[in-house]
Amino acid sequence: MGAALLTIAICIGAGWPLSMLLDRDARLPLRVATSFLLGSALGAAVLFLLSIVEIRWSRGALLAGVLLVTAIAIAAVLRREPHERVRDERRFSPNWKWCLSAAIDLMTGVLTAGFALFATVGSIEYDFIAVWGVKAKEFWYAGGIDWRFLENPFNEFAHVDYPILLPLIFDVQTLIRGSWDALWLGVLHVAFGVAALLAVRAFIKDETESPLIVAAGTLALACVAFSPWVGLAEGPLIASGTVGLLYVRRGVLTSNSADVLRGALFLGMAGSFKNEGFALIFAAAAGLLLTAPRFLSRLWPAVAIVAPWFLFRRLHHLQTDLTTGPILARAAGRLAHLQPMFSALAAYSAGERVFWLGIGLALVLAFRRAVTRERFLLVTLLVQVCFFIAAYIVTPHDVIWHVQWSWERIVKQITLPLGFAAIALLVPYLGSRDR
Amino acid sequence: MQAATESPETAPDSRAAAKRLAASAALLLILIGGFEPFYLRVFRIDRAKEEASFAAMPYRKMTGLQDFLKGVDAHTPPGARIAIWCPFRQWEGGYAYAYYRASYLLPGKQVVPLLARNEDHLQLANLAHADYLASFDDEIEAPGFDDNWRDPYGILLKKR
Repeated sequence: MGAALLTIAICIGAGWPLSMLLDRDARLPLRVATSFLLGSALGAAVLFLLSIVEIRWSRGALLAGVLLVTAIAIAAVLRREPHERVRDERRFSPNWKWCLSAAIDLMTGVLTAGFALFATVGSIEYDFIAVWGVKAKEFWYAGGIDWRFLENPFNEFAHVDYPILLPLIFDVQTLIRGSWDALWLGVLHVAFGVAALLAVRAFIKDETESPLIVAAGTLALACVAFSPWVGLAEGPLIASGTVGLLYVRRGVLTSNSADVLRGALFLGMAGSFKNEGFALIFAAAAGLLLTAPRFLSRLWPAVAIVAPWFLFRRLHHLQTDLTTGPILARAAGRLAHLQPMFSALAAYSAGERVFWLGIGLALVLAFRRAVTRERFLLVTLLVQVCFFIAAYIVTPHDVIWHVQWSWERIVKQITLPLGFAAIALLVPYLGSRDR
Repeated sequence: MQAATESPETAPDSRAAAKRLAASAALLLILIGGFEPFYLRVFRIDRAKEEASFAAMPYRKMTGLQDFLKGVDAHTPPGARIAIWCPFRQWEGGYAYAYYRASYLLPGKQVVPLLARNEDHLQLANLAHADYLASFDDEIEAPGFDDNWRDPYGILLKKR
């Protein structure tokens, strides 16, 4: 566990100056969250570059690369003009609301601790063995990205076309530890969940001054932020995708193009975890097109971040299974008989109905506000769901089997930003007497 | 960011109270619906027992597979190409279970399938791409391969 915690500390430490460069006004929870996300991506980027220049991975080479970038970032932070942060001038005055919000935060803390215990008990998922873990282990063993493994048709089962950010982050921890240990990779999973929750809390705080609503909103979304699929890319995708979408949303609402750029960076990271993250970039572009088209070009960092993987994927002929075979004929056949797919979507769980009832009630209650203020998030998430369904329409697998084994997991990818949107819609009704 | 397009504050008191109640209900539903009770139950589990149980879980459908593949790993050199044989003739009906786990437990070695992926028919021609043949739970002989190592769960053959 020591190596796992050290890895988290290195990621946060290395990402901190990058986070300061990116958003100097970020609240502490958002600072910690973005520092971890950026630091983990930095470690993976160093490994990616080492592979490209054909330097065998080692702990020294990894840390040297991370230190170099961190030192440059620190120098850039120090060279910046001093910046006076807007301080919260409210005086601390304990009252019943403060006590209640502290109690709610304590409950969130207990749930987080429970999630950490669950994620480190060693529940190895099928897809960890067959997709994410196997690649990380092969790369670690090869001392670099093993293109021969990815190119070999015998290994197509491992979804060799998937972006490799998560296996590389697993390898960051493995290199720091010095040996492969699947059990404690769960600590990284916990860190992504906590990063997602911290970021959401910071963005809820942008919506209200009431500590009670911030605490209650954070508690409500705690288990939504924690992916139960340990070792799979859902957790990191939820964290980076949500941070990206919430930054872009803030940029749209405040007409701040810098926030859109910041969001694009994290969307690019989401696109480097999974193909659904890549689709999320296009969904966000659709959301911007219908809300603030002037910011569309500000998504360029997302495209720039995912581009290298797609270039290498093409160079090494790594094909995605969705597009194999007669894709048009397959799609036409499915479109002519949509009923089995929709029956499967209805049959297999997309989460608790009570949760969706709450989301629905929030949308009905604040319908006009949803259309005007949350349009970007809602359009983006709707388009993303359309992408999910499009994937089922073209899948070469049996559609019922595909829905059964993926629907709940991929819906989970969008429930955190959707839950945030619902809470943002409820804030004016919940908080009118708290301000 | 407080620019609400509706203004609950200016609504009549009774209407505002009703909306406040509905909003509280919505928040409560989101909380209850999103809640995962296992994150509280986990504090009461016997961790050592659960760790052992979870560690065995990915291999529980084929007793001995993990030990056999670890033995295969120990008895083959880095870079070895190892064909996987097991008594299942359907990709999703057992073969993939062993094949994926073999790939995970044999890092730095190339596992070779002897069943066409997702097609459920034998592809013994793939033996030409293998230096070893690892047979789990099936005593086999293969032309051109000699016994190399065995354990109670399977046998490892080596190409002559």
